Amino acid sequence: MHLRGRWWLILTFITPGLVLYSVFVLSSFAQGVQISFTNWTGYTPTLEYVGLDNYVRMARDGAWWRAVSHNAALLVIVPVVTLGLALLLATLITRGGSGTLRAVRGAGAYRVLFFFPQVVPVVIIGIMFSYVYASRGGLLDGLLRLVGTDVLSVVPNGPLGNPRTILLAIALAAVWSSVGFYMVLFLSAMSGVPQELYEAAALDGAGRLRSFAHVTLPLIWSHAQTALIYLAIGTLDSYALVAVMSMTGTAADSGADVMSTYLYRTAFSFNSQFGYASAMGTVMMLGSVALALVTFRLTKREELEY
Amino acid sequence: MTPSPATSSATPAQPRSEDSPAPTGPAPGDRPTGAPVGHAPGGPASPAASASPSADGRRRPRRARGSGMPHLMLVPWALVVLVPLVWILASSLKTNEEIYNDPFGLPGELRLGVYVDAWQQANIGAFFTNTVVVVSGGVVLTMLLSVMTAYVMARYPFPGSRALYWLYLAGMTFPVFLAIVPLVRIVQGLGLFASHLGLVLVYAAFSLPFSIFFLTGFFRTLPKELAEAAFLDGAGHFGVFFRIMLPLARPGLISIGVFNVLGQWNQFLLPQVLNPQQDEERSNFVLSQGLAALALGENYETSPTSMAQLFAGLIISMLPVLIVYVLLQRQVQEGLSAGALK
Repeated sequence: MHLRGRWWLILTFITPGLVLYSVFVLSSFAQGVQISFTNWTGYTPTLEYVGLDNYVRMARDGAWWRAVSHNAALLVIVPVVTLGLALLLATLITRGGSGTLRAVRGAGAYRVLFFFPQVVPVVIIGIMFSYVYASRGGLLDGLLRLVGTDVLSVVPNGPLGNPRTILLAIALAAVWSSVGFYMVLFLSAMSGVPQELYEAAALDGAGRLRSFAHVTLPLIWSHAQTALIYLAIGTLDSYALVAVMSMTGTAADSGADVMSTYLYRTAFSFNSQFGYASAMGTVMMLGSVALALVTFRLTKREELEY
Repeated sequence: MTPSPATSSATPAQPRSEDSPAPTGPAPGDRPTGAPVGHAPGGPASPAASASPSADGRRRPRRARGSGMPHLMLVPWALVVLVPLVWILASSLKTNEEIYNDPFGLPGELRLGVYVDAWQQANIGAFFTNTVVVVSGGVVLTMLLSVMTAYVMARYPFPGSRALYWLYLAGMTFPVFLAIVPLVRIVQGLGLFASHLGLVLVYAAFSLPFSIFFLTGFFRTLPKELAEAAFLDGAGHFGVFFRIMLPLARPGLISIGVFNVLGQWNQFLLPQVLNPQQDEERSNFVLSQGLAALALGENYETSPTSMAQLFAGLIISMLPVLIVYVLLQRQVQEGLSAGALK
């Protein structure tokens, strides 16, 4: 193999991507960290370095901590409910009876339907659920009226107008969109469990529940862990759903602020405090890196070792 | 089988070989068959995975009536998924009055005109066209650049390729929120603010890392023999890539292509920041921005069917996604699950 042609190919193939990536991605990240140490507002052409001022301010900013706590709440609710439901549905679809692992009738159809919300754009999900929760003409309201009550008497101001419920309402929309996706992940994990184990368990007198607890669950546990971390990262990054659903809900704008929406408004509505917003971004980056390191630790990805 | 995560993720593109006969499964890093992912029989995301157990079930003696049990819980979730979507579809043909007074009633008449109004008056048509232009450009550029980079990373390790790996890994790990503030300045500096080209370049730049990782894993699973034979026949490096490796990589390209189409169609934050409103009609918006703006303005009830127009907009922007999903279901599930195993 001729060496000169080899280098020629390496250079021509790598350079265009690397240039684009450096200009828009790498330099953005680098400047983001840099700006976090300045008081730049976007209006001034110059920027002054202010050391750790932005970080100190963040530590004392009640609104920031409220946003962090909302992220933390989502971090608990969304993965627990999503993975719980996904596991339940995956089990129901595959477990026809004890001793065998087979699909129920219509498994293919369930699978296609349940997965679909994952491909629906998040903004559409947000708008759709805003109307599901709407106090006038909403889907939830209509259902409640069938049983003789209405959404406003159950939740004053409606689910998205009430600071106590808005976060939960948004979390449920997130769950709706991703349950099917994780169900499919679990299904493929489950189909890797050898049939013999179920037959053996059945011979030992294990019913459905016991063979689930003692065969299925331990064998797919590592997949559940991976899914959990992936969901956690996704929840940390959640933006569109919260932005859309707290925008259309009339009242509580900061009732559901998460880190990303607070960062967005700090940068683009509250007098363009670019320095402060970048400090928030830097903290979020450190959080993501920490989560990624945990992921590597737990899963020891061979491929990513390169 | 000990389904260690390492097994499942030997390469990001490598599906768990669920039908592997040996209970031990392939060792980490071991590429058992070298079969291209899309062709792996019964890959986890393929319909075959669900079809084969059910075919299995038919051969077995049917169990007692108890097998209706799972449906008692599967059907309710099917309704939870389906009802909001169907409700939006039905409401897209109703007047605001009808929606308020009878949320479950059928539309008084078949008002297909609402869709025309949504397309023209509510400007969904412009948003749709903008989105199609930006996403096509973004995906084509993403695919082109990532397939070239991935090929080199998989087949031409060179001094410095490890550093390159870490550079792209950073882009996959860091949250985009850290980047948006400087990004505005960079895009403005290049004169690309509020332009389609600006969005295309930024979409592609941010889609590169994952696409590269996916395709690198994919190229590694392809057999080396064909390329070597071609080299012996006197083919050059470029010839081998275009005539042999690229056609072989097709299944992987389709999966990651679908992944990028859905992902870029979904974009909201980047256009919101880089493509702000330029005129009264918001004629430069992409769908996600346009719909969000419509939803916000809907409170003012601009027309008797303003809600229906918004719902029609939702249906219109869901339609391409639905079509892609129905046609390429296996690749969609494959591409997206690869995202979870990254």
